[in-house]
Amino acid sequence: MNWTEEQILSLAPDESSKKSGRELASPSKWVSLYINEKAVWGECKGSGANPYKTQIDLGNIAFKCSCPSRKFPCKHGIGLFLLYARQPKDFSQSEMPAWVSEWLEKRNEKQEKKTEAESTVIPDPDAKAKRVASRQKKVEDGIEELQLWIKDIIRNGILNMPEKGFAFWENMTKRMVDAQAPGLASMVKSLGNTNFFSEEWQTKFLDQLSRIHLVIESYKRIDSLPENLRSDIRSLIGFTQSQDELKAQQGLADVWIVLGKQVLQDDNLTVERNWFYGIQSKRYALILQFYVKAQLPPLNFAAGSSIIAELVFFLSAFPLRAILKQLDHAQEGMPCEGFKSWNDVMNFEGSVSAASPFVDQLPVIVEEILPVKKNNTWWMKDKEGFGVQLKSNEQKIMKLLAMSGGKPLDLFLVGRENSFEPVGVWYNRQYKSL
Amino acid sequence: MEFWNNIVNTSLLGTEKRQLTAADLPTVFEGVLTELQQSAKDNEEKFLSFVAVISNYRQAGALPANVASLMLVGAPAEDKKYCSDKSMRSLRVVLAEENNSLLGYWLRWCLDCDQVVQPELISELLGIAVQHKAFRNAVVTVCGRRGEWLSQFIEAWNFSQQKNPEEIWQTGKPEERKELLHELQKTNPQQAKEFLRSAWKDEPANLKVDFLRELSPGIFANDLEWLEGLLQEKSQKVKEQVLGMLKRIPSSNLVQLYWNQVSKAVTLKSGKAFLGLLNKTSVEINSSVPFDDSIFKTGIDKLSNNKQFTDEEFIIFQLISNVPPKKWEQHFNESPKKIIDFFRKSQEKFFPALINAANSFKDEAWAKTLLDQLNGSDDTELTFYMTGEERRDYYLKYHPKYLINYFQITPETVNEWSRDFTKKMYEILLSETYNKTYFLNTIALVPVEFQSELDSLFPDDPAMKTFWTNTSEEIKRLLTIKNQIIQSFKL
Repeated sequence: MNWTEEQILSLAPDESSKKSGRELASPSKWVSLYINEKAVWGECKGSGANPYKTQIDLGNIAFKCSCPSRKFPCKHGIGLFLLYARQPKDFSQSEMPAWVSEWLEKRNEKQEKKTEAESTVIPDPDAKAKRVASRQKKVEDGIEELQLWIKDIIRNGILNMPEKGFAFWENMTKRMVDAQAPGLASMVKSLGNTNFFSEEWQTKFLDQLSRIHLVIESYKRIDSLPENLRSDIRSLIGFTQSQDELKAQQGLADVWIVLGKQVLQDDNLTVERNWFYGIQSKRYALILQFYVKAQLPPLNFAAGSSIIAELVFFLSAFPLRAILKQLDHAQEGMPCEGFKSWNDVMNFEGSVSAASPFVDQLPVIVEEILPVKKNNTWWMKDKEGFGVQLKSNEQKIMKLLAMSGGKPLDLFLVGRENSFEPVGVWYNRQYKSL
Repeated sequence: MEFWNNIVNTSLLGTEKRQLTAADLPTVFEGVLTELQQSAKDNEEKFLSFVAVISNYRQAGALPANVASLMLVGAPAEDKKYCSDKSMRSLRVVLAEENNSLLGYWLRWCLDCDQVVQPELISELLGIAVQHKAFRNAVVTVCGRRGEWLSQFIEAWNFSQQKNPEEIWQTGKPEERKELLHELQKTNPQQAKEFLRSAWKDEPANLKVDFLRELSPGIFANDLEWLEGLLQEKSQKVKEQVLGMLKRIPSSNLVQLYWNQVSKAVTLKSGKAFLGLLNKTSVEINSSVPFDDSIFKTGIDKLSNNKQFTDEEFIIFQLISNVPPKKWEQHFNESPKKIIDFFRKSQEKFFPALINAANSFKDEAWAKTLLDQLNGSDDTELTFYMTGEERRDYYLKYHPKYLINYFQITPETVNEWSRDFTKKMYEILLSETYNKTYFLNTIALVPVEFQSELDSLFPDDPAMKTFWTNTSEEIKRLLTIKNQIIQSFKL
């Protein structure tokens, strides 16, 4: 598929790598530039006696370079990829030299070994049962403590919450990490991150507090709940579903349009939320990727493109999160169908709430909506005259408005109730990230 | 939702002080409340469980707002052609490079081709125009009608809409007010002075100084009373600024005071030379003339900071620097050329004071005569009267290193250099600087074909070789982008 400069630069680990990568995206910097169907490679003039050997696996984007940089991908990788995107004609078709073919072979071998190792490991059932019981106990103890803490807050009133210092939230977050309930830890952290300067902080705070309470109470009664909901609650506590077990299940094969990603930085951890829409299944999917600083995400999806792939959804009352089981190939983007009105979206929201009270963000494509201004806020109005508020920064809203020019657009948004954040827009039949 | 407000109020006070009652809620929740009252262990659990139910109820029943009455008047259709996708790609590359020289070049092409930018980059360009005034006119034009339409939503983008000067002066930010004064002094200096007078008392000292700096001293020439009155200000900074301005107004009492003093100390003396065959005229400096103490309160130093001058001579030097050179023409009844000649032959060390004076009072005739005499030494300040082209040629001849800072690229001033001139410029730059910014900031002026000549410019100085290896690569890359811009618009 064709990678845009924007997409390539989004792979750079930092601003300086982007800048240096751009500087290296010039044929004069390269001694040789080659390509075949599997890889792109080249030799770049550096400060050493020998040029650096840089290579990119085009199958599942990965970089390797002989330079001593600890950044990943290094500036040579970014530069080579940018140059390939800008001037593919400067690359000669060639057989792979040993240093490229050996690397690709090793990558394949590694993947195969990993799969093999995973399939041959026989877990010790007794040890596993002990581990499960031990964790169960820790989680239950943690939950008891968290519930007391929440009750204290609500007994004394939330009026003074904005004055609570960092340690108040941090201590309980850490306690939940110790209790091996990372999901609850994240919910407590999010509670502490409430924007107390916002006019509606009380509602936001109360929603999150009651959500934590609901998760705790549901966990206490988990055995009496349906299997799908049980899975949601375990996930919210922080129990993970085995991805191997998931991959063993039958997935949903479709042409999936990549609707864009939202990147959240949590200390050193980057959380990437990649949104998809299945053309035939008309289903939304969310693939989460977690990686630490200076690491490349395992998968790279270009907004606006499509992938022919099989996705397996996590067990849930409202299945949204998925993993990639099989990727056939990527292709150019395709048009897709969305909701015709906000009332349709709200009906969908209602059905989601009925299935699960835990869904905090809904992805929706809405057709032919028009930005309109109400006092100092922007709203998206549908053909029926109804609208929801846009939750975004001025820069994005102005970009959207410039493309609209006062005419309705098809948009992909993420949000809940009547406040949505625009993520992408179809403009001149092309999907653009905002 | 009144009931939600009741819930929020209860949560703010805390369940210890307030409990939710059936009266706080719609009847539909009565059953839920009763059930929770029976099953919950305590008030807190009851409250939290109830909020969880209500939150879900609220989310499930969310409705879109009726915004049918909100309208958006659409943007008018463009009367110019949109630039091509290829041009848009080259603009994205230029924006990612953050190279203003190339951005100016792209805008120039777009203007010359009478095209407008596609809407998706309009907001980014308008944002850049806020930061870089030099791009404003070009950006407004290439953003077309869509840009003009979009600007109505962001005040800072509304460059084309002229605000009422009165409104800017009364309600504008300090930067806007300074800009207003600066513009008004060219078009309506009387109004600039009136604005300044009207608000003078209420402005802080630093802003008073800033406002005065925006104005040319000359506009107060017929209105000196007010400016001279400002010498009574409490702020030392304001007083210094006012003194600086008064020193540049020939009709000011201050300049008159200086002239009264210095005209007594500097005289012409005629005599004979070469056995009485030739007349000889020289400048006489009389250091024993008493000075009025008041001049030392106006920034004239009493003590010399130069070994060549005695304290008295130094005072005279400063006074010559601060009186219009034209005064000497009347005083000596001689032409500028002759006077300069007298000074250079008999009082060489006082000659720089004449240069200072010509520059301070922007006296074109004196500046020209001085430049003729100087042949390129210590004269850069005197080029104030030249046109851009004249100054460029003058610098190229006498002061090539000043050219480094000379070229400011705006979309209106992109006039590509010839290959020969580029070569000369690069040779100068290579002999003067290790800073590649100078090369990158003028890239729009360099012809693309010059790429092939870059390798031939390798400097002899080994220390410069690494610098040039890297910089010439960078130049080549930017010239490739420049070429992409050209090709994209030539489609």
